[in-house]
Amino acid sequence: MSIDRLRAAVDRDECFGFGFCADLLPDIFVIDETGHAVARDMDADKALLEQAVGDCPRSAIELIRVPPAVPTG
Amino acid sequence: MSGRRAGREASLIGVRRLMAVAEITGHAAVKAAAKDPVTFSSDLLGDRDVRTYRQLPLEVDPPEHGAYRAILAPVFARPAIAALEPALRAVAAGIAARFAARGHVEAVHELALPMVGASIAIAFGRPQDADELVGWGTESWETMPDGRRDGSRLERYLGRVFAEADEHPGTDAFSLVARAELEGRRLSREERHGLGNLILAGGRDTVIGLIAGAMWHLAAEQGERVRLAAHPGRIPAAVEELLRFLSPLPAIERVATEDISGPWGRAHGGDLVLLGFAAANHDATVFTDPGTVNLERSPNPHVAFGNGPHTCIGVHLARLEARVFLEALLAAVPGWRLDGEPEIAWATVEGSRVPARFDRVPVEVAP
Repeated sequence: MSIDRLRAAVDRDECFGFGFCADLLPDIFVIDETGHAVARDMDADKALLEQAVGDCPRSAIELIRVPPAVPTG
Repeated sequence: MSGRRAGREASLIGVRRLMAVAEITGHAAVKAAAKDPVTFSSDLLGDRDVRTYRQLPLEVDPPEHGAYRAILAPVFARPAIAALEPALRAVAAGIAARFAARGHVEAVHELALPMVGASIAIAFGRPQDADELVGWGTESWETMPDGRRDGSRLERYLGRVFAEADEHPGTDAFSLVARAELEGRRLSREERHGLGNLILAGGRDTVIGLIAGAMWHLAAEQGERVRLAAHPGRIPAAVEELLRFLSPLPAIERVATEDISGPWGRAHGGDLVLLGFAAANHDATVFTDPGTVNLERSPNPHVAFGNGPHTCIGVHLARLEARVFLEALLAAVPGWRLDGEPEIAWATVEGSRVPARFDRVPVEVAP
């Protein structure tokens, strides 16, 4: 039995770089030098990730389910 | 481009009524409408009494919206605004020091107005214009003796700064607009003024209201002032709550492109409707006790900056102005209280009384 992780992905074509996600989860989202958000592949609180998705003015954040790399079952 | 523009004018004429027939309220409904520019179009011309052209990118829909927005993006991008912090801190420190030395001020005109006037002059790369922008007072449009609004002062300013940008291009926001290209052509005069009008009128009066509102609210809240002074890291959350409660831009117009209805009412295709940002920010199903200012409110998913593609382009600048202003004030004086009766125009938002406009907020330094 293993639990999928959630990973955030930012659509750079949609992102306007408002940075609401970076304010909420600074360890996950950073605004790069071009002014777009980039999501780091790190574990984060599911509720906060979902809030980031809902807060994004551009609906540019998507959550992707990632199966564990090494099955633990 | 020409085809799209022709379509735009046609649909403008197609606006059935020039007054909004309904206001969309409720946090979820307002947010959903703001994210849906197909059903709730920005293809309109507002403020017809004071301008004859559209504010850009505010009053066009995607995809044109994105092209205009990209022109302004270098001015308002998060890293560009973050780089302004030392300069804005210096402005705030000077304003706070004058308050500390004099002991009493009228916060709207002597604190909020100079903070915002200088901040936007610096942000737009024309610091030499700070006194002029402050001299406009709290409203970008002038009010004539007969009560009509007049936009000619703003037009004269835009005409002058764009002429200077053409003659001596610099690194300022107006030079950026003046040399911008859209699909291989330079911008028309109306497009230039549309962008310039937006950045001047959009973030001036609103942030003046936010900062005046912060002074007004904190005048009666000594405990909150002490807490924020001791923990400046909590000032940003306080600013967000003041943004929510005051909602300096309470609503914005959209054109319904089809017949729609909701708990808020109904509208026909072609009707003007309002997206009620203030109403959304006072939705009791999302914000506990929305009529009370809770400076530690968390989470605080307010829509004071709107939502969707038209989310305020100046969000980082507005937040920076308010934060460094409060940091400077709280560091410079032990506290302040009202020094006489404030003059405030009130509105009722979802059953709560909320200041809609601060005309005068006299304050004095208090221990």
